[in-house]
Amino acid sequence: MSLDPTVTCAHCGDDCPDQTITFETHYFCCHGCLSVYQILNENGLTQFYDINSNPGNRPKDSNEHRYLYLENEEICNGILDFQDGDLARVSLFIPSIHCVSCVWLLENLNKVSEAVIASQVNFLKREAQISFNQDKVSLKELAELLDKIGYAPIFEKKKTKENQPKRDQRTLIKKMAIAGFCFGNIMLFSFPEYLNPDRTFAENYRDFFSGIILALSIPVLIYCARDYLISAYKSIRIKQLNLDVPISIGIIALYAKSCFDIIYGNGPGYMDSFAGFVFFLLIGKWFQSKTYDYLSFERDHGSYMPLASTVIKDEQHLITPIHEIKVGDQLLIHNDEIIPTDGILLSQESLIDYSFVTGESRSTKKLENEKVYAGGRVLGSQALILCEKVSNQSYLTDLWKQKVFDKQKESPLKRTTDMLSRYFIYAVLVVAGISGILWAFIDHHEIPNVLIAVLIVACPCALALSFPFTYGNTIRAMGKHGLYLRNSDVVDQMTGITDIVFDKTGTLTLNKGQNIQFSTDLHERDIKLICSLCRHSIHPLSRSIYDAFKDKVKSHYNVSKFEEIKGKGMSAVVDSAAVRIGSADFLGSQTDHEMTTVFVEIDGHLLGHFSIEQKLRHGVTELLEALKSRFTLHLLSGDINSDDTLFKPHFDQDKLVFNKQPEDKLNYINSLQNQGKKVMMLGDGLNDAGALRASDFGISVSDDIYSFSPACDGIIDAKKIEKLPHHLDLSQKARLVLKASLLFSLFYNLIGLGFAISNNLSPLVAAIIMPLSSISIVTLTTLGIRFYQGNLYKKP
Amino acid sequence: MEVIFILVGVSTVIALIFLGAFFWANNNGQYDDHETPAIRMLFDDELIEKKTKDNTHGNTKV
Repeated sequence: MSLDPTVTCAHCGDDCPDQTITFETHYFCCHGCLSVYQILNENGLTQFYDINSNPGNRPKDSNEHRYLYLENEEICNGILDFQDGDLARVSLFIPSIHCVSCVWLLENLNKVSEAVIASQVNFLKREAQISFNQDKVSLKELAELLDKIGYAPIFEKKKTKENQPKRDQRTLIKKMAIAGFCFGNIMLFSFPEYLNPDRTFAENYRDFFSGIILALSIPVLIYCARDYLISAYKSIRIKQLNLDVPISIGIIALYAKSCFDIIYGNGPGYMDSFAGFVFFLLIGKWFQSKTYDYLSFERDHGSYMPLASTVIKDEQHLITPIHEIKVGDQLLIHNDEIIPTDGILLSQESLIDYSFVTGESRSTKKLENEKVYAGGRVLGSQALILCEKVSNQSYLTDLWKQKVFDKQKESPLKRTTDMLSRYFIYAVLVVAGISGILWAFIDHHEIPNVLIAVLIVACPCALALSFPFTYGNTIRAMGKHGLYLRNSDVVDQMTGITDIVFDKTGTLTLNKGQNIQFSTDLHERDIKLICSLCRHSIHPLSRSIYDAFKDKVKSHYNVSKFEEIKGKGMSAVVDSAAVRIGSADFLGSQTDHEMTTVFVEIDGHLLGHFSIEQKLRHGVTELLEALKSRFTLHLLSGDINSDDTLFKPHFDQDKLVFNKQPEDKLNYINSLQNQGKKVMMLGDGLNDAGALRASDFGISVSDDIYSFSPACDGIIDAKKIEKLPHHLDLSQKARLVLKASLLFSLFYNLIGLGFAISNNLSPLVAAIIMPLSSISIVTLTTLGIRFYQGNLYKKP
Repeated sequence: MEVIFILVGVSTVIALIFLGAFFWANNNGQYDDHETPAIRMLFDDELIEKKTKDNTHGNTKV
């Protein structure tokens, strides 16, 4: 077999490092991929590879403990949607669903396992709903099967109201359908009157038509418009006027006047305007509510924690739900599992990765009797831990219980609209009063008609549509370019930002893949000496050097007389050689390097230095360059000051802050806010959660928008992070568009008032003005945002 | 012209039937997921072909 350097894995499409793993005529990068291929091949599902080229996910290393917690019945019952006898149905969140082939394979899961009855995928939500036979396969086995073929499901604690948004959406669509239906039909039955104003035609049918119109209007009032009326009633009761109050006044005025007209035989009234008005309002609401509800913006530490852990009691391994773990229990945490509570390590030693809690990207080694905290991920061999605190009192939970998480962010946008609607109501009352006085002199019989007409045209329908359509279009535009906002209300919060705070690790720099080079060639023994020493330090630079070279050494020397001087370096006797590793001044050397350097001295002889280059994310340099002149930039890092050379050109010296704990980050944001700044925070991971929440606008940076991201206002796709300045620009332009459309809608109100005050507001005029104003507002905002979107995101 | 009563009645009933059909579709969840059905329709036919192939191979299930 000749070696072809371009051979890629037939399953996942990665390069095959050695072309030894083959099956039939295909090459595979690893045994995991091969076994998936074999499973699919045996079951006649190779179609999977025809729909999309190299569609597969590389399965994670097999781990028999990964789904152990699903043996616990209580947990299973919490996860299953439905069970009846042997039939069970479950909705699984599978983030690795990414293409057409995935959907095909998962929906043909019944070919792989007989126990699966049916499966249906929701592609946007990355969710598979699987019905299966409980007698033949347990939930655990099902999860393991999916894991084996590269679709590992993720189980999270069930949210109590999970189906709520779906049902709300359906109700809203139903309301829209009814309002639209009634609007169209009322208009149809009003036509004879409009075409024949002197009312000579079809005299016999007039009452019949009016009756139908009245009947059609009832569901619109009591079903479709209900939310607005209730909300207005509530806001009047607590004496805080919101936009629903003038809307409801308009609705009621329209409806009352129309009923009066119909009952007294004066014509069809304004019922078509009324139904059309409600219809357009509902469209606005629907447009606004169609957001990224398949992304999760509200995850807290609970969704990061495991559902259960193994408790050892009387030599028995019991799978116990987290909330039932008691102080004094012995927990067995397997490789790659997360420690659920604070405790003391009972095993000899254990490697724990705290990157999610601290943001520090390297794993730390813990020895027997050392304290371990909840949220750490055990790497390597399993760890035995004595529980010291129950899970809802752990350090991690305490962090989360800080006040910032309790307070509901008040939306400034709501304040603006509430203020607007207050002015609106006053203005309407004043205008109504003046026109009433005027008509008292002209013809006092017409006063009620004029007053009602004023109330009708003053209804801020166009105003109410401006907000949802401007901001709804804006978040769609941003979503197309990699920023997904929680909802359309938060757009406005982006506009006044003065300071932008970045987290370092994972946000600006990549977690993995540093460039580490030594100034000269290293002998094998030297590498071994250096690795043996670095292994003992938890300093991030030592860890980087160790990680870079650990594959080249098979064993380690014994280290004695180990001494570490904080911020300088360390020395020890390694295999009878005196090794010193550290900064230039620690070893009395000179450095003029831009990069971070670590010098090495063996037996008094300076060997050379490592130069370590942190890799920035793609586009970060351009991003910082573009933002620098417009905002004050800050950098917060959990790391010890290790590579500020990389960031010096972009940040002021005093804005580079290292060695920050999660609480410090939060306090930093708060102190900026106390100085009157509006702060945007970019972070990733749980350690930034507090800061993200406290900031005026928190953005979580994520390589995979479906994976875990802490509670935030928006999620930005890390690959498109350089577009952030454009997003900020667009939010400003959105405000401009909003102002324009508000002016426009006021203009319509003024025209309407002209008709109303002169007592010329016939049903026909109302039926033209109302839809016209709504449609023109929708067009104006949509075109406005489209225009700026095209302008701003254009490739330079 | 009295026929107009019947015509209006019939047309309203037909319109209501369509409204009802829309409600049924909505309650049935047909408007919940706009993306996957578009993907699913791409491979419906091939599935049947695969089934016959399966039988000739006499495959083993895992």
